[in-house]
Amino acid sequence: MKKAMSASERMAMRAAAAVLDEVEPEAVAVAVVNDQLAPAKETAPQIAELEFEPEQKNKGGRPKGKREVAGRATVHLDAARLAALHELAVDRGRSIHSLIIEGIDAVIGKPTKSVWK
Amino acid sequence: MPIILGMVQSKGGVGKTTTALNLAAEFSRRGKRVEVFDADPAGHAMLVAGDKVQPFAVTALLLEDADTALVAAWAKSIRSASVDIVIIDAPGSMGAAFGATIAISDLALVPSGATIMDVNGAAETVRIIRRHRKTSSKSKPDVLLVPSRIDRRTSAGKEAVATLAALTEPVGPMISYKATVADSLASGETVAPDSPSGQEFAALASAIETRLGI
Repeated sequence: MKKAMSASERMAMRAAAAVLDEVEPEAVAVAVVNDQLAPAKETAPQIAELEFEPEQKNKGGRPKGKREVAGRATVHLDAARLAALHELAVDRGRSIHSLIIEGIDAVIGKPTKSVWK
Repeated sequence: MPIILGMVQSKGGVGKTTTALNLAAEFSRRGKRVEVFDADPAGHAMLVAGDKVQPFAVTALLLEDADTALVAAWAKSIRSASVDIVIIDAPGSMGAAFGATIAISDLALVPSGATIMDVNGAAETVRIIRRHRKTSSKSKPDVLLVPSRIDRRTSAGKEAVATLAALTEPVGPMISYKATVADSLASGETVAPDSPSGQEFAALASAIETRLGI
């Protein structure tokens, strides 16, 4: 259950939105007075439109990845790490899989473009 | 545009001003041009370091209303500062300056002691930052939790890092509770760079540089 915002929290969020408004007026469409959070913008649907034929659009579920999968591995996580990753994933609207992939990219760097292809 | 560090915590007395001033001094020693903006109506940063003794400027810049024009002017003043690093000392309670500091910062530093009240304040602050990220669909600001005013002799102090890590945001180097920090601020100075506290603030500055990639 979401905690309702107090008056001071609402003022804080309104000011935060106003700061963004000052830089990028078109990028901000935030209903900060309302306690309801705006859903995180999903980029996946746009990717799906590029990647799939029209008849496959409405199949639902996760869009199929375009990358070749060289191998599959199971990651064994302790409870604390799993809980932390789960919380991060929920917070950012991402999958745990994406976070792990991006974590690897951040630590060892992305593969060069030619290898990536 | 300067790199903007926001000192935010919804609970007061956790070391926001102390950390802001000592970080400003450390970054100045590293050759950065630094300005501290005191957005706290209590004006502690101005009170301690507003007499220009320090090698960095301290400017009062209050924001007491979320009026769009006021916020825009406030943000413009900060973004147009002719320095390398801006540190905003936000009030220890939620409100317009608190929210605006979160939104404008590249990195939000959240100092927290080891007590349950401090950690609760840090959790509230992280919650607001995450809410801001969601509503704005932006990944900024990054967060660095700063264990602050930690008494290493107590069990709570010894477990401070682990306690803050439970908030699932990065935790920076610990700043210990030492009388020398309070004493130095009382005389309008920051801690000596070669003192144990000075080294702790230097470690924190390094962690910030690493986090920001600068």
